[in-house]
Amino acid sequence: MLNCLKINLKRNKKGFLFFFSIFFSLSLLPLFGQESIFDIQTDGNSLKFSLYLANCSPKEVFERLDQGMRSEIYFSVYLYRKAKGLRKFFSDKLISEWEYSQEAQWDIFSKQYVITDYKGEVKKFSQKEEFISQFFSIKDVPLPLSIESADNYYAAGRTRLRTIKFLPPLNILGSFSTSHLITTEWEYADIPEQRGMVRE
Amino acid sequence: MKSLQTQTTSVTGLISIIIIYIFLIALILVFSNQILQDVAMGRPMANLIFIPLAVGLPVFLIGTILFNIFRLVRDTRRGAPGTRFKVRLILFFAFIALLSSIPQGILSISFINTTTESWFSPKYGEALRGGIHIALAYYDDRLETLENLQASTSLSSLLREAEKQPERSFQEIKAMNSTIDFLQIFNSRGEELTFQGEIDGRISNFKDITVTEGLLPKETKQEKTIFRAVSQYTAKGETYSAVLGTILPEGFDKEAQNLTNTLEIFSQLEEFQRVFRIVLILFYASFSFPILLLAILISFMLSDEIIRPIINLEDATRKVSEGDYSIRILTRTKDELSNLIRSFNHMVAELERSRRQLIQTEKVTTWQEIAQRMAHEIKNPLTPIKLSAQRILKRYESGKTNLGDVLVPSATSIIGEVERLNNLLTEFRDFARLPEPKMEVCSISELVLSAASVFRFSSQNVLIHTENIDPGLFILADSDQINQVFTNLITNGLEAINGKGEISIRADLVTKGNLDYCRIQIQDTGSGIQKENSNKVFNPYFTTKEKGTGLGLSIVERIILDHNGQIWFESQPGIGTTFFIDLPKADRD
Repeated sequence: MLNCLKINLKRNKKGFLFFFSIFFSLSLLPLFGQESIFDIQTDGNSLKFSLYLANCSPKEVFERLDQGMRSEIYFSVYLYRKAKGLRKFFSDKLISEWEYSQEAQWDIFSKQYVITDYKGEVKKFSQKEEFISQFFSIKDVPLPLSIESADNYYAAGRTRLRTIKFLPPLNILGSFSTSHLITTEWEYADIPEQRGMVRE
Repeated sequence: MKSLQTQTTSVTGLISIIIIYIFLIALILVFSNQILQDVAMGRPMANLIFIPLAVGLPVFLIGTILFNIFRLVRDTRRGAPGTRFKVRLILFFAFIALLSSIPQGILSISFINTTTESWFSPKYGEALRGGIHIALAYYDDRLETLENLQASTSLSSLLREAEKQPERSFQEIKAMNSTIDFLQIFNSRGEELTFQGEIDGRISNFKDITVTEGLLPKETKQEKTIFRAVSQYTAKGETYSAVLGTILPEGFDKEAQNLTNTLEIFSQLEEFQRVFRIVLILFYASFSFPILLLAILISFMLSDEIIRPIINLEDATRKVSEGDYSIRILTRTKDELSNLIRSFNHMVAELERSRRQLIQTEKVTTWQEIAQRMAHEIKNPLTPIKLSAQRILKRYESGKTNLGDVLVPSATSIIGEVERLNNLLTEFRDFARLPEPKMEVCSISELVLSAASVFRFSSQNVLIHTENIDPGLFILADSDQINQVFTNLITNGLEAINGKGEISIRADLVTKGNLDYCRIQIQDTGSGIQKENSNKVFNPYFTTKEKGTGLGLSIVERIILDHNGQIWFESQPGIGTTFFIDLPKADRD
């Protein structure tokens, strides 16, 4: 009986170490993997946000662009109202959400990287570094917010990179396949105070 | 007359099935169409409602089918009528549904496979890549030619002549390079000196151009792609800028874009062919599977509809076999099953007629028996009367003085026997000449309570329950006669109980066919009726009691029949007897 217990303990210890190492590695993944850098700023009258996809290797993006395919990146921003009183036991309330996307492709004729941004504007780049820096980021995008108090709100942002943008009829695969999708964790940012807002 | 509402396949049931089927099919078609449109238009899966629906609908259908299977298993275990036939029907229907859907599924999957394989044929890939290659070569060639011409040393000498003879210079340049479509020369102040060739290549404002030598950015104007190169030359001490250009064929950019897009789709299809095929099959299955489930569910409902008249027929046959000839099955359709039902109804009617004739014959026989018994019963006291009278006469004729010794017992005996005869004849008269009932609306509750109250005090060890009588039940009846019915039945019950027990009287509303009846039940905890006597209980002069006349239950039956009612009983020897009386319900007003 005692032996059995020892064996079980040994087994449990091994099992524990095995699972611990997996969980530990998984928990460290975000530290070394891709992440979003999310920032909200004010110029006094309005709010602007910037979102970057960081620590993400562009290798697959370039591979896919070279194969003649497109890549697409989505920048999502969620605005939450903080729960107060008894509601603290529940989650904060999602007030608004915005999603911006831009698409990249390689123009074989002009031999340039082309980005079609969320406004539909087309930008062309000859340099890989410049192109990827533009593609992985969205800068100073106005947030159409009308909130009365900065303290009661906060925002979350994340980036999703689809290394292959599926075209019709293959876009049906986009709903099923996640193998070409890189999604970062949510990053949180406080809403800075701006004119007309109350700081509690 | 009792009737069972039976339709071979009820119209409402059939309509409901058709409506449910059409609704679900429409729902499936609308959603599948919406998704296909989304896919074709390149929209992301906007209709997220599809996902819960795609999961929810099959789950709902599977749940409903499982519920029906559970009900079927329960009915089979209970031995409910028609379940085995129903199981066979459902299996048959499900088999037919599978028989049609499996080949259809195989064909569809095969079609998807064949189509995708033919779409993704490597030949098309090669053709597309070849097309791109040609377009790219053409594009590069035009650009390179322009670049080379701009860098050519012989160009300057040709351009110097352009001020004097612009047309000739342009022709000479074109002779050097036929791809040049236009020539435009500006002076150092940016003023145009000459323009030759295709008008589309003309620059309206040279001052904005910052490039002094080399290629200008590509311009697309009215679906035409224009390449320009600037070359500077000096003549008579002034610097001139010559813009040479070539125009790609109209729509080249658009067609090239279409070609690259098509190649992009093709490359994606080529790479994800297997996954795409699986997704297509899943997509097909997500719509065809609920339809198959729906077909199975409908097989349950249809089998219910088909089986119902058969169950009713079985039920009716069982009731007829138990002796209830009043049952009829209603049918409105004109199919084979209806013919069977009509034949059944006709057969039962014939049986009932024969039974009535038999009863009539039995009645004649019974009356003969009654006459014989009456004769016997009357004859029985006649002998002691005659003997007593003879005895008195004999004593009187013998002249003996003690006539009183014989007279008193003999006269007493004669009086007793005459009294018995009188009672016998009074009851017989009552039975034979029951007056016509004087119908009026009566409350069953009041009639029962009135009859029971008489016995409550006289039979203290017997509990008479009358709580379960709906006070809202009324009948059209002769209250005195119905009171006699209740009195006779309660008396019978009390005699069967023999001192201690319970009598429960209840009344309920029952519906038989289109008619409402009041069903009165009088239940006792007495000795019960022996099986061998159960057929004779209502026969006149049948009694198992020592002092009984055998007319009580005959009178009861007669009264109930006169009121268009029905009476029967259920009895278990040693446990008790329940008499059931069905009387047509009347409205209070």
